Amino acid sequence: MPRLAAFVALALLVAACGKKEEPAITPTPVQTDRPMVNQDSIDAANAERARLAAEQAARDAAAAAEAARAELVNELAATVHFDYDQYAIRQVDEALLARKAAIMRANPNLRIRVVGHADERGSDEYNLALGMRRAASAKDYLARLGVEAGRIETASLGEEVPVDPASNESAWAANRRAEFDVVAGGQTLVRPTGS
Amino acid sequence: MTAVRPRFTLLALVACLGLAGPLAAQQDVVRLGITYRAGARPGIIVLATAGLDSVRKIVERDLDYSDRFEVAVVADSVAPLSGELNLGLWRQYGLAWAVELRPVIGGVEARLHDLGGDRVALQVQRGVDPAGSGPQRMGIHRLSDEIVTAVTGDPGIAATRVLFVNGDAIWMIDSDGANLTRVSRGTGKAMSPAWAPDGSRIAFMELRDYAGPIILQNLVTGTRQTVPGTSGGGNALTPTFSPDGREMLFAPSTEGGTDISRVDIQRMCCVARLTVGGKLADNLNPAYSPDGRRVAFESTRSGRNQIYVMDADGANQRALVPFDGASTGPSFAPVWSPDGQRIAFHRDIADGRQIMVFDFGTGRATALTSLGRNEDPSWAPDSRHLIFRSTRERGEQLWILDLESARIRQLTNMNGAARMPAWSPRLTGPVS
Repeated sequence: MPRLAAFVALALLVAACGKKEEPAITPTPVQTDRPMVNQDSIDAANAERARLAAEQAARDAAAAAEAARAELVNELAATVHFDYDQYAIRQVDEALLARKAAIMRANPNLRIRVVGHADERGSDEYNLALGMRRAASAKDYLARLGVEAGRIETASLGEEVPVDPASNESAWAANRRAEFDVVAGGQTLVRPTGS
Repeated sequence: MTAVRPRFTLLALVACLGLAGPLAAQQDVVRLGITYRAGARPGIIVLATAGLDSVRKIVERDLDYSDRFEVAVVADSVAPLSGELNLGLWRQYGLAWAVELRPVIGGVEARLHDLGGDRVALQVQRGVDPAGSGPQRMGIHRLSDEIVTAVTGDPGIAATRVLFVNGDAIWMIDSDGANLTRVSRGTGKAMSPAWAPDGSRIAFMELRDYAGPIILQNLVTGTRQTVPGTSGGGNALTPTFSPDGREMLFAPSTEGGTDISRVDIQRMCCVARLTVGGKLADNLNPAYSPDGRRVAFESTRSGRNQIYVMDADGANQRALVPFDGASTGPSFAPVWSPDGQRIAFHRDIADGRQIMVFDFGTGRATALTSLGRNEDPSWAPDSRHLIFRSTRERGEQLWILDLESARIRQLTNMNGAARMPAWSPRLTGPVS
């Protein structure tokens, strides 16, 4: 406001000192002032737009990175299944385990836990032993593919946590499994080279 | 003697006592017809003075559950006593024994009348709560067991309890189905309960944070200890106490395999491994012989799980229950009978799972069940009753089978499965 008042005073002074032939139409000081104010707003708006765009880009990049990370985590977490009272890795799961091993080799800080499970047949206690065999079998497989054994924890929940509580062949097949969890180093993950 | 005659005689009895109207008498006939078949086993009747109804019903049920008597169940209007027992009357109706319960100061007096010999075979006084409630029930159960002992020479099993798993916890229940109590207090998933031989302590595995150590819990003080050698990762499966209570066998299960180890639980030290299955075979579920010199266990060394035996120090391991390669169903969870004569276990047969008993006398195993899935057998102290879990009726509950009479009864009625039962020794300590 003081600045505005000074402009008005200056304008009146200039007008008073000028020729007196015809009355000049002098722009009102407010009008001369307006473009400067607008430019400030425009600059601010542009800066804000740029900031938002940069933020969005960062968010998009983070989301893409998170999506890529989540995809890797999903691959790490993919369940493998077993035949009745067996703990050998099935051929159908070999590619899945090879992929887990590649991700682990590319991310040396990554640590996982393998939890073995069993179907309800046999005794509850034997199924805890069998689940441990399955976890150890999956771990051994990854270790043979170059993953340090110390990065893989093992555990067994036997038949205590079925994915399907029914008593039939398809439920049993679904319950005979090893599950994989990331326990450390999963915050940022890099894709294995060549994938 | 046929099963019909006692119905008539007891109908006559009810009528001649003049204590029940025609309708009540009709109901009595039905009840008597169901529960009393004279001649099959000695008939017994429990009579009590007014005010001891609860005690009478507990004793009556204990004697029934002993499976050694035909218990004549009479209407509440008939059972009360006043004045002298009319022994001749009961003898006349084919009963061999009569139990007379009367109050004494601070408890109950029981007299067991031998109706054939016209003598009092047992006269004891016990400090029990006449209302028959709470922890004093165990005192009444002991009274029942004394009656069984006086008649048969063998102690009864009424004063016993059963540990089992329901949900994530260990529970305890009296042998007659009363006093259901949660025992384990941890936040993990408790499994595989076992009794110390004196009944004062229990052991169980507690699965939490992906590992299962064995917890020793004192039932009197509630204190908990972790058994040495069981908290280094993996699951410490199937704990069992030695008959002298000094040692425990269990099966630590790790990446290296599942093998049976022994630990000194008196000094809480000194873990020693007894089997060497390692990567090749699992060995678990150890069960001591009653003399503590041998151990039956389950092993996968032949392929599928079968029942083996070894000396208590791990020497001399060999197959115990005969099996025929892969054609014999896998066999699990052996338990040695307290009299040392038999091993009970369960076996997957076709689509079912059945309780089997291996007899050392014959060297053969026979199936005791054929209905539903049956597993986790545990012996009563009398070596003639087995408890196990079964799907024979709705849900999965604990059932008790008398091997001599083939009578079977349901013990639990829990929400969710009741499993892994462990029958206590005869309880005499402060815990009861």
